[in-house]
Amino acid sequence: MIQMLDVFLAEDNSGDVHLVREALTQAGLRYQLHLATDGEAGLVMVGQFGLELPCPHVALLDLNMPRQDGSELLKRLREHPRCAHMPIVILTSSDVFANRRLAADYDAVFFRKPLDLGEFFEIGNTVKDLCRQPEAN
Amino acid sequence: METASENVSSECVYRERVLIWAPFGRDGALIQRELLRAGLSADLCSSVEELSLAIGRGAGAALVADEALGPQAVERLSKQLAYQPPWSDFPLVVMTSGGDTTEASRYRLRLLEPLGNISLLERPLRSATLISSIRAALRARRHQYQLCQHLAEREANERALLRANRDLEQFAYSASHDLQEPLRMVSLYSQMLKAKYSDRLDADARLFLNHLVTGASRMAALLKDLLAYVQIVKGQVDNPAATNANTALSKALGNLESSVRESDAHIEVRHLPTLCVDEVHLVQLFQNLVGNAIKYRGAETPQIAVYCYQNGSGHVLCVQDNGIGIDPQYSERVFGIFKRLHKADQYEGTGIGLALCQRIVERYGGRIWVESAGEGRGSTFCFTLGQGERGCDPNAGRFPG
Repeated sequence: MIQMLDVFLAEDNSGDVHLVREALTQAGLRYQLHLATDGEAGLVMVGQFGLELPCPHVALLDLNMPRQDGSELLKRLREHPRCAHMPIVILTSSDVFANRRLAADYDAVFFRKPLDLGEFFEIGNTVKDLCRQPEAN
Repeated sequence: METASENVSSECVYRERVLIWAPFGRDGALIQRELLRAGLSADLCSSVEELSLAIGRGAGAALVADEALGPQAVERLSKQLAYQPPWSDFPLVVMTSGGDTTEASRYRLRLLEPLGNISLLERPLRSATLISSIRAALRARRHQYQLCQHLAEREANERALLRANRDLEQFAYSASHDLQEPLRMVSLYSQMLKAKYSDRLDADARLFLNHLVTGASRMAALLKDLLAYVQIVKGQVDNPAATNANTALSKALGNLESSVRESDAHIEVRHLPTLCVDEVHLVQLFQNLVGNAIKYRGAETPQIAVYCYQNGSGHVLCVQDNGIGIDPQYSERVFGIFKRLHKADQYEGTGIGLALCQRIVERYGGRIWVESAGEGRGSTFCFTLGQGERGCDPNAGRFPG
């Protein structure tokens, strides 16, 4: 039996949300998506992790979101009292050095949203690989 | 911003008054009366301090009695005059004692040298001489203020132009950057449609979908190139390292590997120099020029030569091909942004490559041009890199770290 993954996705673009779902499915993953469609909602969810909500197995964060930047979520996740060690993927369309730097500083995987569908679906395999590693938390 | 330019122009407001400092006897009052009678504005000053401050507030000229200019007064005044802006050369008319020997006047003039723009007026003064010397001084001073205005206007224009350019670049950057987001959706979802529903669509719908996919990917290419173009100015090349053109060319050819292979192009490279340019820029130049040489090939296998020669001002680097050539009437036009000589389905491209090349060489004060005997007779693109020829530590790029 394949493990059910708790995936935390912070993404304001519904088009990208759908594509991420598709990518996870295509990678053969069974998952429960915990979706936050803006930064503020994301922060609320982060506060519930390990309490009302399970600690996610993996977090996928868009950086450019309304209300609260994804970078704030990234910091809060890494400082989290219960779920700090989860693998985190930064999903962004702007490939600027500052964003790569941010990902490196917080030990997150940098994934640039591509224009090619096949490349986009790679996100599924990335998540699969990240979750195959022994859980740290 | 606005206040700064207003300050500059207020500095240029001319106060055409004559300052008189003749503290001994009745000279001062008499001279003032003469000047007023001639329709000039004239103020009496009672000390060197008052005179200096009045000059600081703005005046046309000063008329000073020689006997008042002791060493301390000369020092105070020269200090005041040292603060003049570059356009200003305040005229100081010094009334000397009558009957001085030529030798004594010369000596006096030397002592007054620190005061700058000095002319001597010998006493006893004649009214016509006084008025005409003062008028001449005021006239010269008026020209200085006009110069001040011109400079201020030019500076304001330059600032405005700089700001407009910056805004435009920022706009182009944000536009091309932000346009990518919705485009990504168009591109990805048309691919998704194609991947998932292709077998359920009829021939027409599949054709439409293909147009959608092609259009989106073409738009993406345009935005990518446009971003690269805008970033030529955004990126800094303050301190470019010495870059070996052979290395830059190798990197460019590496990036072009698949099209070199597919076209079976033969590329001959003759020894290239080391230049003081950002390597990224040189790679972009070669990649665009060699890429074009391959893209716009004729029926024959591409024969491309990359070489360098020296002219009077430095190195000229050239990429020569045996491709389709360019009608000489278009040899300027090809460097314009979005200007293309061919339809997209004939030769792919965004119309930015050569504009980008031109932008790069112009950043270095160089130029780029094309020589072609005409259509079907090959082209040679050459460029110079102006300041890339000098002002670079030759070791800076060779031993990194």
